Formats: sequence, C-alpha cells, structure tokens
Amino acid sequence: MKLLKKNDILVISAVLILCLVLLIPSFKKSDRLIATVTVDGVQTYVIDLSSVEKAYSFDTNTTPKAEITVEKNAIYFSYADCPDKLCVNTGKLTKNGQTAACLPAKVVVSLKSAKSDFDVLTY
Amino acid sequence: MKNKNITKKIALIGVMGALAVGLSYLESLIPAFPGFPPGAKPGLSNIATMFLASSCGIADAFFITILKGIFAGITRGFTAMLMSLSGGILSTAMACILLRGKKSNFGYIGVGIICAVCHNIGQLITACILSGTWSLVFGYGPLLLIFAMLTGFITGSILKLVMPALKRFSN
Amino acid sequence: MQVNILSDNLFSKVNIKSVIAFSLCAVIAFGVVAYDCFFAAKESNKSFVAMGTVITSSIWTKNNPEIQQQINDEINALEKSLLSKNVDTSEVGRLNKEKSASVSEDLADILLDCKEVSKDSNGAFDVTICPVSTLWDFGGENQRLPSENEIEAALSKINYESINVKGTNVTIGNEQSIDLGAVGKGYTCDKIKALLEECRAQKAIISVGGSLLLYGNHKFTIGVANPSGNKLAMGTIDLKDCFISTSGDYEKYFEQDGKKYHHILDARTGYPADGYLSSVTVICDSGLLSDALSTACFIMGYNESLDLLKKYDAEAIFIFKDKTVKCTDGVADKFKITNNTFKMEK
Repeated sequence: MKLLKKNDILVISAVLILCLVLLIPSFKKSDRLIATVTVDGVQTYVIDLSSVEKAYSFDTNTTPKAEITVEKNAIYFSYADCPDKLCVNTGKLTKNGQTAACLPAKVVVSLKSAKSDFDVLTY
Repeated sequence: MKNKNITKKIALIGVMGALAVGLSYLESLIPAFPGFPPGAKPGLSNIATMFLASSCGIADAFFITILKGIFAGITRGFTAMLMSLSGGILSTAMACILLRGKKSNFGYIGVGIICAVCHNIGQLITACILSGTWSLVFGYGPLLLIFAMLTGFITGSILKLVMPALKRFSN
Repeated sequence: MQVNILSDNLFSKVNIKSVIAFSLCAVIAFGVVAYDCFFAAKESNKSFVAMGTVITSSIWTKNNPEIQQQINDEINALEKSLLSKNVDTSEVGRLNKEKSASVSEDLADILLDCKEVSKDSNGAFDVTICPVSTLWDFGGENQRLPSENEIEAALSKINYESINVKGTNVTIGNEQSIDLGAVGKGYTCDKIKALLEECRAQKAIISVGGSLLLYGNHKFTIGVANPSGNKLAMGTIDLKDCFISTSGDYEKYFEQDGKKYHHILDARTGYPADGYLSSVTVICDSGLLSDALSTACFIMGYNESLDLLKKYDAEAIFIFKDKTVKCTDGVADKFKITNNTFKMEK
C-alpha cells in the first residue's frame, strides 16, 4: 500500500472544508449583549441590545411608573416616579453583569453577554 | 502447525495490546492543552489497532480496542472509558473496512487520517451526549479535526515505516 | 496489501457473532446513557425583588419546576413572619415591642449564633444595634447624619449580653432591640438550601442581594464586586457547595460635607466602621455566619479578623481602600484578580 494516494488529498480537503463549515456559527455570534427586564418576578422583556438600531423607550406599566430606554448596546432607566431614583441614577448599563433596579416598582434590568467571566457576582 | 500459529497469535496480540495500552497511558500523562477538550490525545496507540485490523482478525483489533477502553476506565474513570471506547470502536471499524479490502483506495496517510478523524468524531458525539448540548461540536469540532489530520498523518506514516518490521515480527 | 499469516486465528469461529453481540451491547449501553443525559436536569432562572434587594436564582432540577415559586414564597414568608423589624407580625418585631416572647426555634438559634459572634468579635458585631441603625436609617426615608449626642445615647442601649435565650423563650433588656439586617440575607440562603435539599435539586446558584448560596457538586465561577460600585467583578474564584457574603462600603451610603458615611456600623462606636477596608468577602459553610462574619471582619479590620475566621473555619478575601487585596490561606491560590488596578499582597 502506498504512503500517499490521490484520494488521501481528497480526504484532507474534505476535513478542512468540514472545519470551515463548523466555524461559521462562531463568526455570526460575536459579542451579543442581552438585557432582561423582570417585572415583579416575571421576565417580561428579553432584548438583544447589539441588534438595536434606533433607540426607543417603553413604560413598565408599574406603580410607581418607570420608563426604560433601549439603545444600541445600552439600556437604562430614563425616568421613574419612585422617591429615591436610584434606578435612574445608576445610569446606562453597557457591560455584562450590570444591573439596575427600581425596587418600589419591582423592576429589574440586567445584562448578560454571550461570554461572561463569572456566573454570579457577590457584592 | 496450528498450535504454533496460535501461540504466535497470542504472543502477537499480547505485544500489540501492551503497546497500545502503554502508548495510551503515556499519552494520558500529557497535560490537558488549553483550547482542546480534556482527553484529546495524539492517538499513537492507534498504530497498533490499525496493524491488527490490517494483518490479523477483525475481532483481534476490536479486542485490543476494548482492552484500551477498560484500561482507560480503570485508570482514569468512567468518562474516560466511554470516550476511549466510542472513539476507538468507530476508528477500529473504519480501519477494518479500509485495510482489509483487496485494493485500497487510500494510502497509509489517508487511512491514518480517516481513522483519527473517526476516533475524534466518536469522542465528540459522546461528549455532547454526556453534557446534553451539541454546542461542543462547534466549539471543539474544528480544532479536533485539524488535530486529527495531523495525528492521522503521523500514525499513518509511522505505520508504513513500521509495517515491514511488524510483519517480520509476526512471522 | 495485508498479510494474513495469522488469519486462521483463535477467534475465527466466534468472529462475526461476537462482533454483533458486542455491538448490540454497546448500542444498548449508549442508548441508556444518552437517555439519562438528555432527560437531565433542566435549568430555570428567576430574578425578583424582595427583602429590599434583588434576588436571583438559577436552579437545575430534574423533576421539580415549582421550586422557584416555593423559594419566592419562603423568602416573602421569612421577611414577614421572622426577620423584619418593621412589622409587628414578625417575630423580631414582636420581640422588640414586648421585650420578651416565645419564638420559633429558628429565631432562637439565630440569636444564639449572633451572640456567639458578638462575643468573638468583642462587640464589634451586635444585633442589638437597632437603636443606632434606626437613627441613621440607611436606605430609608429618614436617612441622615445623627448628632453625637444622639449616637451616644443610642450606643448605651447596645448590649448583646442582654439577649437571653432559654429554649424557645427569649428576653431582651428593656432598652434593647434587635436588627437582623446584617445576617438576614445570609440566613435566607440557609433556608433556601434546606428547600433545595428537600426537592433534591441537582445544583443551584442563588443570590440574595449579593449573598450567595452555591448548591450541588458543581464549581461555579464567582465574581467579587469591584468596590467602586459598578457591579463589575475585580476578580473571580471557582467554588462549590458553600455560602458567600460580602460587606462593602459601596452598597448603601450617603455623602455629607465631603465625607462618605456607609451603612456598616461599628456597634462599639455607633459610627460607620473604618478598618481601612473597602470590602470583605467571607466564604463558609453557613449562610448566617458568612453574613455575620463579613460584617464583623469589615468592622474589625484585617489583623483582628484572622482569629475570628479561623474559629469558624471560614475563608475571606479582603479588599483594602488602597486597592490591595489579601486572602486567607485557603483561598489565596484560588482567587484570581481580573482587574489589574488591584494588587494581591501575600
């Protein structure tokens, strides 16, 4: 039996092509930033921030009232009727793991990215 | 005459078995490389199984494969056994198919690569089933395939080099 | 080109049959393993607001989808009926009002444990700190900087030794009142662990306002918060099956006249603790203790904390105000700093 035959080259090419095919999904994903908005314990919105093109705002329909604004790769409380305004003062959330919460309205906004270097934060 | 052959046979399988298990053990000492799934190894022990598949009986080759698997199970645990068996069985089956025909469409390198790739495919499928997700295919797939190509190339070449000596030994 | 010198082999008669038999066994074994793995534990994630903070839970369980709701209910019940000092329906509220009460075994145990930590911390940690914490009212509507006189007066009412626990009967002094704010979150984690054990969950990671419960035989990667308060991690550590609590000066605070007043009050002085620390993270096998110890260590400072931690078999990560980091021996090798403005010190 020979060491190398024509068909062997075919085999090598086939394996390389298979490799490239398997690599395609990893190019699509890149670093998606996903925001979850939970109202009173119920996950109400899941937003892919990296796919947002035009900024928009929405009301959480809670008392006190809270308004959330979504931009490309950012989300934040733009207005809230609560007394301490901690949520609004948290500012823009742009990185994995960051959260903002309006406790009186029971609204929690948190960010997760496709890759994260920790499961949970202790604070 | 038959007795002599059977004795030779047992001796040969014994030596091949020891070779396969020994190589497999040495390889297991290699620390896990970052980026490779834990347990990915060059697969030099496949040289022994490929030789047995080509020059002895199908059952002999599978016997050694299972032996390797059990050895992996004893020394490295249940998961390691599953990985070794799944990869080994697929790879040995391919070796039997490719090396026992009258005319082979592939050279030693081609066979080496196909067997190594099948070995890794078997292991990857097992890993996916064990972890409950197919994402491993995309995560480890490309790297494993390239790795298999290289090791297949090496084992195929070594087999070609060593074949005459092994044949002489088995006489 | 194979050489079949030895093809009249031992196995030739059973060749095909054995291969088929073996393959069958292999396929069956494979099938069983695959079946078991695909019907593996399902993950559920929930986050909600309770106890004045954010609670997140990720639980992997094979057959108990109601566990999340059970945990939610348990937390609400704990707050209303046991821990809160602001309502009369809770045991603590009742005890503070009547100074003497028959309580649950749970509260009796909590008070005994807290008393022990008070003794070991020489009074730095003290759950009778209520008169003082009420003055400051961190996070509340009446948050303010109390006067020196007010603090002095309230300070005299702090006395953990007045807590008297006999079975399930508890008495506290007439001047004393209990504030479990420093241990509530950690204790809740203990209760949740009991629930998870009952439901035989496979693994879980729960965060009660930053106090963590790691449950099951699985290593989770825990991020330690950057004391700057941006909720990002400055370092990570892989842990399993334990409780983790952090006390830091960045969570609840206010600034007045250029000075920062944070919510971790030193029961010996009545003022926010200053042990030169930005935060302390404690890891141990009890939720209540991890919470109590993180508070105590933050107040006492690094050097005084070491014996305390040893006694309770706990490990800790200290972050100093100058951004240096010190770890106890058990975690020194495991903690990795990911933000290089912080430096590890041996």
